[in-house]
Amino acid sequence: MDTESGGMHSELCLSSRQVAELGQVSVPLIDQLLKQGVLDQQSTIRLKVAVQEAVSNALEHGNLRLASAWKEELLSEGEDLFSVVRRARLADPLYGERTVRVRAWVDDGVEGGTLLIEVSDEGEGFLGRWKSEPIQMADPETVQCSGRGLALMANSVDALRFRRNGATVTLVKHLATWAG
Amino acid sequence: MEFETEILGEKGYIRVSADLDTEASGEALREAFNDVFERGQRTIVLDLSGAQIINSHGIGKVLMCYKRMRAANGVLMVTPLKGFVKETFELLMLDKLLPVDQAADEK
Repeated sequence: MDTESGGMHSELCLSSRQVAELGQVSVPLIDQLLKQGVLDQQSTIRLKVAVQEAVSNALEHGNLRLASAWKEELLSEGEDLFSVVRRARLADPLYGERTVRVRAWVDDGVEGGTLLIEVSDEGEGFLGRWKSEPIQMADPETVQCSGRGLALMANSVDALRFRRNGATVTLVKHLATWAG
Repeated sequence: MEFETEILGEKGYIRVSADLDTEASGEALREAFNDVFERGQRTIVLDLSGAQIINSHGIGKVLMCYKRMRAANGVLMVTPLKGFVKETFELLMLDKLLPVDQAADEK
């Protein structure tokens, strides 16, 4: 695990296996901004959820190339195909050693600062096969177990930016009380 | 990680005592659900009061339980929600899918 932090900047690089073992990836800069009163408790929770969603996507769909549809295929003991293939791919060095990189920094602006958290994976990205759809009341007959990560991310920050066909996503949060 | 289960009359309860945002907590929910479901309970109530955070992973596991209950003509309910978990259920319109167990509020 490579980590670097200081001032208004933090960066870490983890293998897929390390991300899976940790369960959660923390961004020290978020806690630092909470401590300084720049972020409130509610914004902090939302940001942490957004980071987790981005990191999960990077791990599962980017590096491990898992298909969301596998979450709907139930095997024995109520386990889904997605979880079974996830375990197998984490054990395979081809997938398990691919990295997830998380970089966070504050950009000074005219009207306060902006917190930027960039999450990158080694996958092919997803934008080419993704269609944005409004959240709708799920049909009880056909409700899907997956497909809510981006909606949760978008709801937690001011903007989402994509590069490399979505293999790099940047979470953008304006800091109204940032004094530089 | 393990979530406590309880049978009270006709209902089975699962006390979710951690944030539902990791593989480990999702797995704990699946195991607790299996435990209650296999005992034949067909009304199961998720008590999410011990969770401050839920993400798409946790939502996926809750919906997996929902689908298994529905396939068995059962009902999956939740205790009254609060905070970020409530906000997330409302955002994703899951509050329309999972009825609230009002009896839990009166206990």
